[in-house]
Amino acid sequence: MIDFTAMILTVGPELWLVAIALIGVLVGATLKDRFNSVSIKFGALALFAAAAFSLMNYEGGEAFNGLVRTNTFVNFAKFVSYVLAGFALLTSEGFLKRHGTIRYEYSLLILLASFGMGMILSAADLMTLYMGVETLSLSSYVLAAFHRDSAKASEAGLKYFVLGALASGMLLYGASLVYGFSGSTEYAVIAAADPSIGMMFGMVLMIVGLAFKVSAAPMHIWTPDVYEGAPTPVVAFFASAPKMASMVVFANVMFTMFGDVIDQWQLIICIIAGLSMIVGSLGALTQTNIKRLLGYSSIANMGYALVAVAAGPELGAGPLLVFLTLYVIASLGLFMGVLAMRRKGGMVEGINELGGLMRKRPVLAIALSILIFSMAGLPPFGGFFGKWEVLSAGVEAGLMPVVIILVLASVVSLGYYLRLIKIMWFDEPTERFEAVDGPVTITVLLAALIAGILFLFFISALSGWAGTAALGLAG
Amino acid sequence: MLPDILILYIVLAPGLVALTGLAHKQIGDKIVMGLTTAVVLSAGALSLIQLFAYVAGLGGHTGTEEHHASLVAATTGMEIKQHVITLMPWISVGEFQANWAIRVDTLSIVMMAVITGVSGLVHLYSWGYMSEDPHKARFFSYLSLFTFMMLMLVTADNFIQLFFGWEGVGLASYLLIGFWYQNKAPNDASIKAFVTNRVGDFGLALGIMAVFFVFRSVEFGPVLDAVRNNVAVVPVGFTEAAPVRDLMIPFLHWNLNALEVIGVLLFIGAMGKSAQFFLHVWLPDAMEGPTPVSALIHAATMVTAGVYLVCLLSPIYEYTFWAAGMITIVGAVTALYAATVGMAQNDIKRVIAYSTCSQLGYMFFVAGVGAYEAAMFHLFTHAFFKALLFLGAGSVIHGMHHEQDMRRMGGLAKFMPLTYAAMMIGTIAIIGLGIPHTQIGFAGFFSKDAILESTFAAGQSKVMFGQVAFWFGLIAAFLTSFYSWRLIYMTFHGPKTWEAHDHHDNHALEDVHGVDEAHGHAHDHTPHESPLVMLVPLGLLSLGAIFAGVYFYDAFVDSNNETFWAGAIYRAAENHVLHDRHNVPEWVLYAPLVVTIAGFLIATFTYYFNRGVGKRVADSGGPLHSLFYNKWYFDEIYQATLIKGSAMLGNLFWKADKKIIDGIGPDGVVAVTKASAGRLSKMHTGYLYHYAFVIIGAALVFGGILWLRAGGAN
Repeated sequence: MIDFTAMILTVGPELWLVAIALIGVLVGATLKDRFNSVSIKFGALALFAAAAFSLMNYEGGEAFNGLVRTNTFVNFAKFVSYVLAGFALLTSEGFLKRHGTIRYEYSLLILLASFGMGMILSAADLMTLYMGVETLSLSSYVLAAFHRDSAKASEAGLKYFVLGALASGMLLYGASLVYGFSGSTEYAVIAAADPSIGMMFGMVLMIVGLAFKVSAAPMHIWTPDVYEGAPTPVVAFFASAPKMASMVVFANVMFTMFGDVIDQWQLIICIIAGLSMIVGSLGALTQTNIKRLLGYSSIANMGYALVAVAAGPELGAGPLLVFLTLYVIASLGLFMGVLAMRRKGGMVEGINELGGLMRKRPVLAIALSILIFSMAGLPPFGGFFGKWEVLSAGVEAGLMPVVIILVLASVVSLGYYLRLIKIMWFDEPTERFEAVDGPVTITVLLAALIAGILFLFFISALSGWAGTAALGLAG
Repeated sequence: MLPDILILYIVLAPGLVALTGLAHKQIGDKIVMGLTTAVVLSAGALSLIQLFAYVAGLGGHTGTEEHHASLVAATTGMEIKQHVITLMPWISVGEFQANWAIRVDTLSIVMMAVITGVSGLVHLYSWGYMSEDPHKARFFSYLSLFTFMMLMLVTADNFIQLFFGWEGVGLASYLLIGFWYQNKAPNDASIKAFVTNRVGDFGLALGIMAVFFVFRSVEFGPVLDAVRNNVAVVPVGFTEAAPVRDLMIPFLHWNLNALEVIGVLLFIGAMGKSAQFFLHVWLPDAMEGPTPVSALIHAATMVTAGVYLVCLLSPIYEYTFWAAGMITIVGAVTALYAATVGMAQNDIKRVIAYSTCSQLGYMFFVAGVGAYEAAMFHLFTHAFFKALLFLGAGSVIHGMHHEQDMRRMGGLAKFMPLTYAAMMIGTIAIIGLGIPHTQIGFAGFFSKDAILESTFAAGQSKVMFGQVAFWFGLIAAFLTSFYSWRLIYMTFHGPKTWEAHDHHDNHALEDVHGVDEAHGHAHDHTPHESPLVMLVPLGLLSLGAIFAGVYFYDAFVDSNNETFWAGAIYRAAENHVLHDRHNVPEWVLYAPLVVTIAGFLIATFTYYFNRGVGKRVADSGGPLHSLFYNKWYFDEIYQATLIKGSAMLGNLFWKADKKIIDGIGPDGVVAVTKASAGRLSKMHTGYLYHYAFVIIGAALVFGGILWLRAGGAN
């Protein structure tokens, strides 16, 4: 007899999201354009509620005969991802309105993408994993090309789609190899199966597919183009919620499904991590477009996160959650900063346009500076502690080469982070900035407050939560 | 002692009120000046009340009491009367504990009275002296800041707060020497003062580290108690405990007595701050600062911090042989050296500066032979008459429209009679005129004679270098008398040499004050007496210069000294210097008087009756005069060796750094990084098939790695 209540609770947030999305389709079909603006708030509210749901059943459970299994590790990630998705949605209204592209479909796509995030996080079976990945990806492709009149956005969407299809194919091929050699699609059974060489090839292909989703080098190659081309609120979403979710799923797959063969994949993950850090930090140096720059920065940061993955479940899971939480908050905040930079006649994306922000908008400039410092990992801001935890996990796991790359990459990355600060504080102002939407400003300040300052005092609490959450993996 | 709240007021209020200078644009110069002056003057009044009440409370003190021949034998293990107000914890790292605290004991009561008393008068005086300066608010808040820092220094109950105050007064001194920063000379002088003090402070910092190393504490209480009772201590990294007086610690590559090391290092700090021989070069140059600053910082208070430190740490120096000997010798040499240089200077302020240097030497050598009370006594009386001399000189400079060269003065007694009177009092006080065996004498008489007698007594009882110091001190007393009277005669008597000259020749300061030019020409260049606001401080200080000696003699160094110091100064059981000084031969008592009168007579002869003599000696350029006039060529020697040497070393490292280290290091890395970044962005062609190729290639490589590893395993 299936315990129906427990099952509903386990997949509660996802059921809720998909239900809301479907209702939204119906409402949208009836109200048409009148629903456009409302749908944003409506969707954000639904996402916050989903975040709350995921906390309600924090301990997790099992559903659909083992197709879905949650624990504290994934629920922690789920909560953070949903909250960030909510903020990303809430802050996009002004931008979309100004560009005349506000459609209720946008909210619904974000909701569906979030549903996909929830699914991959909850997945305990290759089938659910693949389904979730596709839901997330397909929504993302459409979102990337949401400004269908813009050539750049369309190109971004198309590139993302084609390469995404390639990666999905690899993931699927890898999954089928794993299934073929282990005889099951269930994580638990695969983990117990004999690790034959064929299964290991399947694992490598899955790694490649997942690395594409988190935009780790050398599968990062789509990232700068898509970040530059896609509408800014969409990129803000890409750089926050799905990043968190995908990376945690990556870790979850490696830890639960292939936990016993860590010596087989540790080197590959280390190579990916090292390459990501190098490519990310060096690539950003020459960028003049701030979205592209942040894209490279996210590649580097995914490299740091992968160091925690390579450190293994016992050492790396807690630091991974701490690091990712701090990173995605700062990342969302920085993209909000990009959203806030608006001049007559459109968005500002060139780095030099930030000049003199300190004199024109001191509060915004200070908040952005805090976020940048946090992301660069300078003490005393929160990001430092995230990076420090990852670093010590790497050291304890004995991954010295990759830890050294981490430190060097951090130094190089300071080059472009500090350049942003310098431009904001010391360069001559160019033109007047336009007024900013309320939610955007609030999000920037909130992000700066949380990632930069609040966690400075509560970092031990965050580490504690993450540490306990990571224990869910073992259980 | 005063209630805590008033002590807090004395110490903290000057610091708070110094901050008003930041808002002077909003509240106006006058309010800043008024507030700082009122606060520091009231603090000064309170501290003086505290001192007088404390002395009166000793009982039996009447101020005219005869000497008690039967000095109470030194009672060891006497209870220390001190009261510590802990404000808040500052540093708390394991055994390293330091609090913000105000320590009230006899030493700090005396110092508080000196600091706030003189500072209050200097604040008042500056209303007149700085009246034409455009940056009055800045000046007054610096003065108050200095007062606060100095009070932090003397009320510290641990080495760290002392160091804070020590550096704080150094900062204030730097800011005030360079107050007229628009000119080159004050800037150079302030940098010189700062850099020279770095040398001393390095010693002090090392000393404090050594204290922590040995005692595992930086608080005065535990550290000094350990020395008093010869407690066994276990230095950091040692496994065995040893009695602290016999403890040997490794220093450089020798094994040395711990107390000697600590004593010498801390004394190096004191040498820097108190401008002792080798590190004295900054003090004369510091006269580039405004004259009230010279009076307050470079005469009465800051430069005495070193003496204060030695007295405060008397338990340590009581059990050192070499460190105490070093203090004696350095002090004695400074006393003599500075006096010789003072004879040949022509700048009125420089003469007084060298005189300060010389008097500080007196304080040190007497502390070195174990009579710390006499050192503190001289510190106390010296503050009055030296501040008086400086403020008097300031009054002269003010009256002479910023002329400082004594050769262009003369005959001023008629024009500024009150300043003349004050300077006379100061001069008589500094040369220590008084009649032995009576209570008649100026302040300097009591303290200087106490010093010379103690030193002689110490020399007799075979205390290291006591005899040397006594003779040096005696010769210096002769020279002091000579140069002090020379100053009086050149400035106030004789022909009016200023009429023949154009005063604007050397008007460096004139450029500073844009408005001052108007002032300079509005007058007809005749000297004028200073305003009342400058004369009142002179009058009050004159009182101190006359009576401070006789009134406090009993408490500081005579029959009442045990009860007065109440353990704040410690003397070992076998140290009877202060008692023995009553048993010195009769001629020792009269010798200072004789040499003083001799100096006076020679000065009178050469500068009053035959005014040409001094000038002829100077013009003939004899070797001795050149040596003195050029300050024994110290500046030149330092320039040639230390400064050139450092510059060469710096150049070497700078060039090596720029070419080799920068070339390979930062510049090289940056070039490589930039090149790689450029190559990397070229990889982003934008073509989809390139991207797909990279992804598939990566998958193949990873598969290959796995294959190789699997193959290796088989």
